[in-house]
Amino acid sequence: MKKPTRRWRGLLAVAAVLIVAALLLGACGAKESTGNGGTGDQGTPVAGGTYNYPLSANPVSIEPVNAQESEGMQVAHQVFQGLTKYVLNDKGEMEAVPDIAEKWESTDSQTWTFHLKKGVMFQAPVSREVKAQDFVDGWNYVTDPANESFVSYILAPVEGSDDGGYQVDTKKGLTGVKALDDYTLEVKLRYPFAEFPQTLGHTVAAAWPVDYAKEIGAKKFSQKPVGTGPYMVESWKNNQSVTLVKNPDYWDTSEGAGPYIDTINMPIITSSQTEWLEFQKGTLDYTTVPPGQVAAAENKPEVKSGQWTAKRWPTLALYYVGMNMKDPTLGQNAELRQAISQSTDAQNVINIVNEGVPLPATGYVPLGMPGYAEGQNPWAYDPEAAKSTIDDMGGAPTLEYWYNTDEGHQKIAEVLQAGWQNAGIDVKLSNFEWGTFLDKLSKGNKGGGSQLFRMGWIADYPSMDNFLYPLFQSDQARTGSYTFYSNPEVDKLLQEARSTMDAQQRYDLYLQAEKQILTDMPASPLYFYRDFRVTNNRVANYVHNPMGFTDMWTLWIPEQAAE
Amino acid sequence: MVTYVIRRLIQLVIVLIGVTVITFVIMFAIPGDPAQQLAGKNATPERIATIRTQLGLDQPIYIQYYRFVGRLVRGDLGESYQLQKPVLQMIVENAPNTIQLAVAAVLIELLGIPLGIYSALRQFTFWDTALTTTALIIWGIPVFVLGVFMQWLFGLKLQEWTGYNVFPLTGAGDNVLGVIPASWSSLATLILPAVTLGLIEVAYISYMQRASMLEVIRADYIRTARAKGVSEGMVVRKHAFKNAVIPVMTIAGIDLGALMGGAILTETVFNRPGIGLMIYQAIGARDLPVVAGGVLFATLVYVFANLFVDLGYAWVDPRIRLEG
Repeated sequence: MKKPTRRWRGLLAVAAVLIVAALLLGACGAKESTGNGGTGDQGTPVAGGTYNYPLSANPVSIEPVNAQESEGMQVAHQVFQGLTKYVLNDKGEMEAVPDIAEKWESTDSQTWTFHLKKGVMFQAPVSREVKAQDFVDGWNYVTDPANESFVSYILAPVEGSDDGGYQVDTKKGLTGVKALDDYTLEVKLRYPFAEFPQTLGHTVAAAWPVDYAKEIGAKKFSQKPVGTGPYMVESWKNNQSVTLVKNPDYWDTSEGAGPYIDTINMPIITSSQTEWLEFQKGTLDYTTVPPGQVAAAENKPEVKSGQWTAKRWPTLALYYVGMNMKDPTLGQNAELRQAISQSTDAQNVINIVNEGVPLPATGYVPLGMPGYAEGQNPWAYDPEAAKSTIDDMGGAPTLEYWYNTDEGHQKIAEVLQAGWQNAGIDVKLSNFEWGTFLDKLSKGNKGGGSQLFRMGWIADYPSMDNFLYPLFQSDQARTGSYTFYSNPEVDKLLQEARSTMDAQQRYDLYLQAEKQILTDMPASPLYFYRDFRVTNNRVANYVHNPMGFTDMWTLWIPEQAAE
Repeated sequence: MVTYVIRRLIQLVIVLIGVTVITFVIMFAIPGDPAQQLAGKNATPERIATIRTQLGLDQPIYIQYYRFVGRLVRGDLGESYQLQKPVLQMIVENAPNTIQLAVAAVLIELLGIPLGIYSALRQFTFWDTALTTTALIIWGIPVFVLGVFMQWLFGLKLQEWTGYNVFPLTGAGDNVLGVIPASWSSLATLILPAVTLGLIEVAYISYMQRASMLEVIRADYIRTARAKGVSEGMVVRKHAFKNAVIPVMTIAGIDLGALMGGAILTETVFNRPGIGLMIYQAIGARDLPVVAGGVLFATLVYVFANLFVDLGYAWVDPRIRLEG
């Protein structure tokens, strides 16, 4: 056997040097430029092209009966339409405006009449006009327990439904919804609910051809559902991709209604690291970034040059520290709860654990909600005041803080613990798996109830009611916020708000309720979530709205104009 | 031989029972409730209880296991909780991509054989040290780290430097005859995951091959061959290699089954729709029927790979007799 020759060694050395040099060039070679990114060219929309939008998991469902998590609902959002839709108004709030409904009215906020637009068509192959009866059929279908919808609770206010959104008597069906004629739908509710139209932009309340779904079979329909929206489902390959194509017969031909892009390609990519690399490779137009890489993403040359946009988009979601009002130590001691809130260091949590992405919460109702007001919490972060309160009390008892087992929640707990410690409040940390955690929280003061705990809430629809009622109304607080909070005055305000048709008056009532709850302090709001996303400005007009949706029919690709 | 095969098949049943029991116990032990996940955040306790009853999750673990086995003997692996699709259908859809990946990775890992022989024949030289050290380092890299590095270097940077998109980062292409890539683009999706999965095994195989070769090369019959004046090339090829490669081929064969485990991580990193990604997603959703079905499939591959290796061993080395 021959030994490696000097020539070979020399060649190998040269190759090694070249590889190292290439790696270094790759790391440093990207061109430097300055400037802020936007969400793409805002010129005149042009048609054509493909938008590449990854889904982070295989959707559970992409049709109204069961679309429930962000992926499935994002797909369904492009395909289905309801009586109302959510638009981002000038104040950055999600507002419900007419979609398939032309207008609606109610005098008592309990009986609603919706007038439907004429000429709204189902996509091919159904290709027929949407009638009021389609809503009656669809809502009856999703609230029938036999059809196992997990999102039917959105329709729980409708007469004939129980609290979980299932029909009380399946023989009678959902008695509260009736088609008065082809274009008029009457909905009777179990209780006055002035924000009801705000709930109807949810996919579960959308129009879909129940007759067609029954004809081809529910399973087949769930794979390739048909709605009325600007995009149609071309294919859904489980765990691989969803492909949507432009609806060629889209009923809304008004200016600006879109859609412009021909195809929406949605590969299912479960690893955020892989998604981020795919984006950098140019095969995706949108990405999340892996944990710990927010700053790196923001400093990318492509972001600085305006080729990409890296942005924190507000979402309607809250992270809070709950306090068990049934706990003998906390429940009876308002001053202690106030001091805990005043020493809850949200900014530190955001900076240390969340890479600066979320916003410190100033109340329970997040930014982006219609009627939102800033600075609602009278016990906002004030460590000095907290310390002085604890000193005046002669010290605080040692408390326990619970969180569900998760690295992120643990880090947050540790930062919070340090903040409370500085105010003189000793807190011990414990964690439990999710099921056990919820089970223990729901116990109140029976058999080792909680004291302090973490919890979160994500909006089902953009309404202050969706945060305040299920979390803090006396009958709901046991499994809503797990705080067991009860204040008849708050219940009264919430009830009054639900019965008030005037939007501004209603918002005022909700704000009063929120203020009162915060004054009582059963839960210290920590932060409002924001979604950090990087998008390619190859695609114009990108908006990630506070519900986490993108109206893909409003996007366009300027380079298509040149082709 | 026939008795041996029958005995192994009976053992297979015992192994499958053991594997399904362990899978069931683990899925019950890990946190999370599939009914709660399916029901969504606002579900009433009654609703969660209904789902639990519908899925049979309200029954004790042994009843659930009994039902699972009852269905299994009828060839029914049950339905996915989440996708409401037959698990068998999901396995049939996903298996080709995983088999393709595992076979490609085994072929790549066979590169370890010449590397190991080269190392052994140059024991204690610079190249031997370099190869064994490199092998040890690569062997120690977790597959998901190597996968991301491969994606970054060959998927992203190579495209930046050359302007050509040679290696896609994710996905899988169409196949012909079930498992053969139908086009270059389909094959291209296989290269990075297969190299990632195979490279770690190349290191292992080369290490084993080196050790095996070193043992054989010192054997008496090699010394005799050399003493008789047989050329060094002939000694290595005809005498040493044939004997030294047998234990390594055994390892490579068993690896075909073992790679099923590595495929879970590799397929997740490369987003390659296969049995591994299917199991990964099912674990996240606490989708027990899919996890159990996927694990059963992996076990079958592993056990049959072992069986064929044993049979092949007897065929390659007639001194070994498989006793019934």
